[in-house]
Amino acid sequence: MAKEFRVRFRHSAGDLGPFVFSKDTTITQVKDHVFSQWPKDGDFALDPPTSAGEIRLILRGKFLDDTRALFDYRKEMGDPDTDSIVTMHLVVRKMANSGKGGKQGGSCCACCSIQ
Amino acid sequence: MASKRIQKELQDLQKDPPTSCSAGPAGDDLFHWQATIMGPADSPYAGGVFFVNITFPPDYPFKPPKVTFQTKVYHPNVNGQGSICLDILKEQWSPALTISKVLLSVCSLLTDPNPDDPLVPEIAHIYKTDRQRYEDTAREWCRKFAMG
Amino acid sequence: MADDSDLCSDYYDDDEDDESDQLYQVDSGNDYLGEDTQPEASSSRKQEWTVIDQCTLAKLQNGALEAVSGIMGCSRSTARKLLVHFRWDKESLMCTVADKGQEVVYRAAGVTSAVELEDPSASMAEVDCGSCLCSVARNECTSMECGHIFCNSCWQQYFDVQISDGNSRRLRCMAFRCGAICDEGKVGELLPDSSPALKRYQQALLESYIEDNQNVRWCPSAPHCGRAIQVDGDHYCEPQCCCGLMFCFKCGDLPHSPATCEMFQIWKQKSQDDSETKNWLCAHTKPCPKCKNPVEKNGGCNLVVCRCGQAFCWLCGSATGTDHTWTRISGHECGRWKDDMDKKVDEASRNHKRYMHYFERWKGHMDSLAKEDELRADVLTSVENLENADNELNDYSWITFGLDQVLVARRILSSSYVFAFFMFGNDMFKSEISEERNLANKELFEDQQQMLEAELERLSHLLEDAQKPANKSMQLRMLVINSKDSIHRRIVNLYNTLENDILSQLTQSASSIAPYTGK
Repeated sequence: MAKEFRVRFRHSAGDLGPFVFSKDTTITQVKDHVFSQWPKDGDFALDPPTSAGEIRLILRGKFLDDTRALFDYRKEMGDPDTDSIVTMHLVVRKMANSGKGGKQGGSCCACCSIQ
Repeated sequence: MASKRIQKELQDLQKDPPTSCSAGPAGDDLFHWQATIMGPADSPYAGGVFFVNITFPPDYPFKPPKVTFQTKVYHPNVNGQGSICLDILKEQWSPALTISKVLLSVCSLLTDPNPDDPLVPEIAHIYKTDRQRYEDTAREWCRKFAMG
Repeated sequence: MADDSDLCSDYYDDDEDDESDQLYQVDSGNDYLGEDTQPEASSSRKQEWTVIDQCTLAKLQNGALEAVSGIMGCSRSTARKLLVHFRWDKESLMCTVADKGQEVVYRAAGVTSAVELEDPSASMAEVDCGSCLCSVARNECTSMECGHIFCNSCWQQYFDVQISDGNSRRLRCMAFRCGAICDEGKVGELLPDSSPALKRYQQALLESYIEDNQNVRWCPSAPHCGRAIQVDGDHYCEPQCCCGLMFCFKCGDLPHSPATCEMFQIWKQKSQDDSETKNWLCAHTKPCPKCKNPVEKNGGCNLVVCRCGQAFCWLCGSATGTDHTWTRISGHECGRWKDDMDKKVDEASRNHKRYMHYFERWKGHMDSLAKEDELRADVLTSVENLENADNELNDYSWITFGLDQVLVARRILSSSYVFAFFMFGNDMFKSEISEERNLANKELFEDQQQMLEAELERLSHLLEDAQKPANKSMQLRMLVINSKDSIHRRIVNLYNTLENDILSQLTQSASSIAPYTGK
């Protein structure tokens, strides 16, 4: 059983990563990491997220749940071993009032989830 | 035979998926998939994430998969039930096509609708006669339903 | 041999092999019912048809395939693809090739692929099958004439699915947007010998000569007798299959000459749907102003009460109270609009009555036809018995011929009422024939129709007499033969009037009918 996952994030501007995460990393933590690693130049910098909460991760056609850990999604990731790279999709979901002071980080409210 | 092929497609998708599409089994049933399509940047659907339902027939790939939008889309070739009017899903289907290619075709359809073979004549009419209004409405629907 | 309908005979004049001529040697259907000693019908169009059963089908199809194969210099498989695309019309195929060139035609017919072949992988030991997404050994793969290659297992499954979907005649290559039809030889190799799919495929190929061919139609008998009819000339004819069924070749329905196919379809519709009922309702009932249901007046008083309880004035249809005197309904006055309402009622009533006049006669004759048809079998047996029993070797075929003439005349007469209903109704051809002209046509037509009818009833009675054992005199025989001839002449005249005097006035509408063949 793999203890770590190597994940890359596919975005319209290109790929981020791959980054290595331990199996118990929560999705929130994954997003925080991606946010911290967001490139400052190139196509990625054109319209970056203002917080980690604006990042949405998609795997096998579904949004990933912030409260879960990567380990919970091992089947969807194809039961990878430590060497294989898992590809997830990434979209930036701008908040309704983003950037106008106020809230920082975390997901906004329950109504944002589609699934 | 069908499951073998679907399994292969799943593996290929996991290894190297297209940029704007993500797909995989919705649950345990290999023949029922869920997919997302990112709205193409050069279309009024930009920024939206559209959910798509995929059902594989038992004689796949010799019969086309059934692909429908779960998210509401304002588009001349997609109706209120999410049915898509696309020739490769019907008479132009070939066993050499994969889900990946199908989803990419749907992306193309979002960028370039086909108003001469419409599923929703009213939208097709607006697309042909008042392009600005079509784009505004499409954008608004995208905001309301695909960016929740 | 037919005259102007034999369009392709020129192609084969140079052929040493005369077998291909047999394709166009159509037999006159007349032979089936016995000798035709009648004078020719005035129509210049010759009506001929061939009955095709399973044996002749293979022969005809082979003939067509070999002919095209020879002319185009192509394989039999290619010839079939071309012919299926052109609906077995060699003329059309040749003209289009001359017109647009072989390449265009080959692509349209699915002989060649619509896409460029990317990498010919003929040299590789293994092939990436695009259908199962696996690597398969080269010797377990097959490529079609278009060059696209897939593994045999996938081809087989693909064929199974396509054939059971009914696509045998256009089994296309699996490659995306290729469009080339798979070679029938390769399909035969790839499908196992015992598979039902292969049998179905081969049968479909054979039957495509009928299914795809405009000149050939399955006999519409139910249950199906297994035969088809080929008509190379004018499609407006009413052939009779070997199973006994007679039908209109153009529309596939019951014979209906002299009515046109359009007239007959509308007529059938009318007798099945509610439109005549609506006419009757309009003529005899009025809608309740409250619940809208039709109400029939059953008394003299103009105050009627609907089932729902609403009272209303019959004359104008508006709701009233229930008080009334001898002369008026309390608080109600109308009388102004009577003319308009009555006119509508009168028109509906008139239309309905007119329709019933024609319908009753059509129906009456159709019923007689059914009875006389049933009688035919009995008559044939009794004639045979007579001829066997008779020591003087007299000929009793005049009874059979007489009855046949009755059947023909009866059918034509009943359809003539359908014709008359539409032709003289001042509706269908309103824009092309003036009312006065129409009236003149109608009178001329009806004169001849009535003469025919009178003679027909006469012959029918004579034949009834002939059934009785005591009445086999020479005199009766003479009467029957004369009557039969008279009927024939009257039908010829009727059609003359019809075609030359009446239908010829129509320049825009469809006006073709199956001519009288003098049978």
